[in-house]
Amino acid sequence: MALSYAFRQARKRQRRRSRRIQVSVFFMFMLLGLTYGGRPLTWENAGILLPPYFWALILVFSSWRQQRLVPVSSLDERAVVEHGVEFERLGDTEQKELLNRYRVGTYLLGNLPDERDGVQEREARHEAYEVMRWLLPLLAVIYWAGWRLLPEGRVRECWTDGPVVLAWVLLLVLALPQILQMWTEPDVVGEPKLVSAEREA
Amino acid sequence: MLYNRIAVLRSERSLNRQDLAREVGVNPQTIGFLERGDYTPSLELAFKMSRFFKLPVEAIFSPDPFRPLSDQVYEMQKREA
Repeated sequence: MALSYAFRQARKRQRRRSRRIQVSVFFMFMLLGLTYGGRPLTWENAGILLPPYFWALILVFSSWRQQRLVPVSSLDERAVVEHGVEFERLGDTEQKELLNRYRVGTYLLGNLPDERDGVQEREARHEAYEVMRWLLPLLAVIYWAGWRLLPEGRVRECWTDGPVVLAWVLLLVLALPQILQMWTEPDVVGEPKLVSAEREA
Repeated sequence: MLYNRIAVLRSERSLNRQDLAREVGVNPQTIGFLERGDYTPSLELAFKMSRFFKLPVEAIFSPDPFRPLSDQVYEMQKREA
């Protein structure tokens, strides 16, 4: 099967497992950012302080739906994108139809948002709001308790640094609808196979 | 939960998800989600399906599980005989 490396990687990124890893990395960076965020911004610290913010901003402002676009450069790849199986396993009609439309070159193929995407986005925003209704007061209580109870020292300085905590809470609020969608969107299941009488016999 | 017969109707007409999706203006994945009952269509999409299959909406979507088409056809044939 002639599937290019770029195509395989793009398909891999579409899987739920890969999306969940991205979400986990966001929270890991959030933890990292909260722990080291209180340090003064110097050339030595810039390598630790800035990447978590960049990653979080990318996650917040880039639509994960762009990941549905895949670079397609062969007939097999086009068949996998459109029908879920390689070209040779398609029926005659599909093969002819695909050959008619096939042009040599690399194209980005994917799906434009449709009504299900719109519904999911609205539901995710609503769910994010419901989560934030208890999460934000909880964070405020944790922040207040940390500020009151933690002994003087580096941990207290980092975890209760107002601007740093505020920046991460803001990023979390902005990213939460997208995080919920990335976490819950199921994998795309291919076309179910119908077992024909000929094959059974 | 809304039950539907999209997979059966599609199979009867030898259509793949791509074809049906193109006809009703959604992504092929959405057809898959509909068939598995993971997504409830909008009224607009339900009517587009109904127009495409040339069947009433209630023949495609139902709040109750559908009886197998073969049962219904067999019963009809028995009644006619």
